[in-house]
Amino acid sequence: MKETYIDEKDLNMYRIVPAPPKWDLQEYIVTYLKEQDERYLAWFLHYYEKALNKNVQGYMRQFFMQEHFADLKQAYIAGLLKALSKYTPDGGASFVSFKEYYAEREIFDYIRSMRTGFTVQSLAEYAKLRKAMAVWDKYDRSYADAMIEAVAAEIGETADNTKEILLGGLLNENRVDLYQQYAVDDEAESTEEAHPDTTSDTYTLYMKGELYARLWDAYNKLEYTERMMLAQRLGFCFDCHSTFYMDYDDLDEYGEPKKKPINPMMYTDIATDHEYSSANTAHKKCEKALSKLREAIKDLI
Amino acid sequence: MDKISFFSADYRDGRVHIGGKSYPAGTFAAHLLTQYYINDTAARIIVFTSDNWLLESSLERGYLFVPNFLRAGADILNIFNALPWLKPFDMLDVDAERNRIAELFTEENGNKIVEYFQRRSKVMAMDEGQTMFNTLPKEFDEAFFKESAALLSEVQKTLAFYDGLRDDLMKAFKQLKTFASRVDEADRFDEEHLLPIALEIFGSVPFPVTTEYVPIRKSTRSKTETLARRLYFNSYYSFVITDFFEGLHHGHYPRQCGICKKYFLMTSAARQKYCTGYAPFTVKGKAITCRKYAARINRKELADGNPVIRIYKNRCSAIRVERQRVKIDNALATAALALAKEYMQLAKNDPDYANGQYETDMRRDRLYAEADRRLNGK
Repeated sequence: MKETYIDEKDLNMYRIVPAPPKWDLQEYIVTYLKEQDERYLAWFLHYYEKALNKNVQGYMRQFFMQEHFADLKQAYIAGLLKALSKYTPDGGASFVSFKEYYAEREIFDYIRSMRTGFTVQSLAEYAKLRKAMAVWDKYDRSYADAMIEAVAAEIGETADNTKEILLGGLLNENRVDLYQQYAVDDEAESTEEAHPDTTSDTYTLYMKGELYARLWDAYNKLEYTERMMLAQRLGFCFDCHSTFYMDYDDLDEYGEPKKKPINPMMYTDIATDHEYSSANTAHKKCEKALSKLREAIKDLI
Repeated sequence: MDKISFFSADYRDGRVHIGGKSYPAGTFAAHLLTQYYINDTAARIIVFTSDNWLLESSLERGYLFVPNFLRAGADILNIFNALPWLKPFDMLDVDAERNRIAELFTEENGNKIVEYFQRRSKVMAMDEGQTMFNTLPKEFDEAFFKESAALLSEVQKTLAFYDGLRDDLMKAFKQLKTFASRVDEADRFDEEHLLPIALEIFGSVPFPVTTEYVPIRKSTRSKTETLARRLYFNSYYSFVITDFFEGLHHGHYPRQCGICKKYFLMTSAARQKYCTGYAPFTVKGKAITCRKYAARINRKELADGNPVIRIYKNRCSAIRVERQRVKIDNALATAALALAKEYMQLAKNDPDYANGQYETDMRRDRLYAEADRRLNGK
């Protein structure tokens, strides 16, 4: 995926010129709390901004919010300031670790309020959603009624509510922005498809042709058994390579044979067809054949 | 075309030539074992020959009840419904034999034999004076007596053959079945180790066989003729047992398939467990060979027992030896080995190819020609 362009100003919004004296990061915070002088906080942000950008970009990628870097960064800073109001150096933890929880909460808050898709109304609901999804995950994401009731019991909700919560969680997981927005050098905003259809591009077509040519070439170099097993396993005709066959025993309303897809065979049946006792043998032979095909196209993809 | 009652077979180099075709010796013994129960072949043949011995004994004693004679003819004709299912009778002229029987067992012939008996009785009842002066009774007619005696002889021989067929079938089947069940007792499946078992089962039963040495062409493509031994058989038993021992002499023996329980002829000493035919079971609605079915149920035989692999290994050994002796270049040898492997894999996958073209494709000349063609991109 193409990396989203991020404005240099957004990346260096806390940079101070000339650079302030370099201390340990924790020392800036301790000094700020002692003297209540925001200059030390600015110094801290000057040196911490690089790590901060990295964290924000992590959230940005995780939640597919490529165009929201500056806003996410601001949310992160808001969380950082909330953490600072509650922080005491005597607690034992460094501020960089302490602020992480607050910053993340702010980030999530921002995402819930800004992104399209499923939203929850409060942090409490969001926490419940996360918990429900975690519990459901523990049960291997089973859709069985018994599992839903088990999840409902663990999160203390009714089964119907739990279903809605889980549905919301699923929607959140599956949501992907179809368009990404970014600013170009001339600062004119434009949008681009996140998943554009490039199947008819000349380059794509050429590479596709090259890929298929290499694959068939490698396939034809395989041993007879390997070729036959692959055809049986992947479900195509050994002779004409078609993935369909005409079923002359099943005619349509015009009396013509129906066109049906060739079903892939199970390894057990493939093994029997080649006089092998074990399905594992057929599996190994297919895997070996596939690895030969992969080898043939490895410099292409 | 040979008559069924007195058919012959030519033997040469472990092969039997009969009805214009050539088979490995022992084929007919193995065929009897398999065909015996199929469609009740043996039962159908046996049931129509069970009463004819009464007619035989009456003819021996010198009398005949014509309706019995006609019924015997009709019974023998019924045998022909099942007889063509049994080799080698399918190769003989069944229609001609059927016509012969129909023409032989007629009311006219029956009456002729009765009249012959009656007239002969007058001759036999001559007194001393008549015999001294050769005064034959008026009933004696030399031409009629000759003709009737020949007719009687043909009837008796025909009855003897078809009556004997029942016992021949049962006896030969029982003995061959016992032999096939005891083959595994031998340490090795060759003539030396199988002969003691065969002699113990079959013993030394003499049977009349007329021998003649005749020139034959080994195959339709042969340009010259070679000498072969032609044997004339007057019973089915003598034919089957001759076929079995001629086969055993060349290392051929019947063996029972572990899956379909049918018998097949082995022409090598390999411990082959399964036949090359289809199993009586289907897997997911598809027909499957006995060997594949055995693999499916984890009863696969050793690789050396598989005829497909055996042919492949033999061919590969020959190719390697020829490469070692620089009779063929390295590139051709490599191409031939790869081609042989492809044929072997194809044969394992496709039973029709394995039972048909595979052996021909694996022949030295065919393999090298195809390998050379592929090598040079012709």
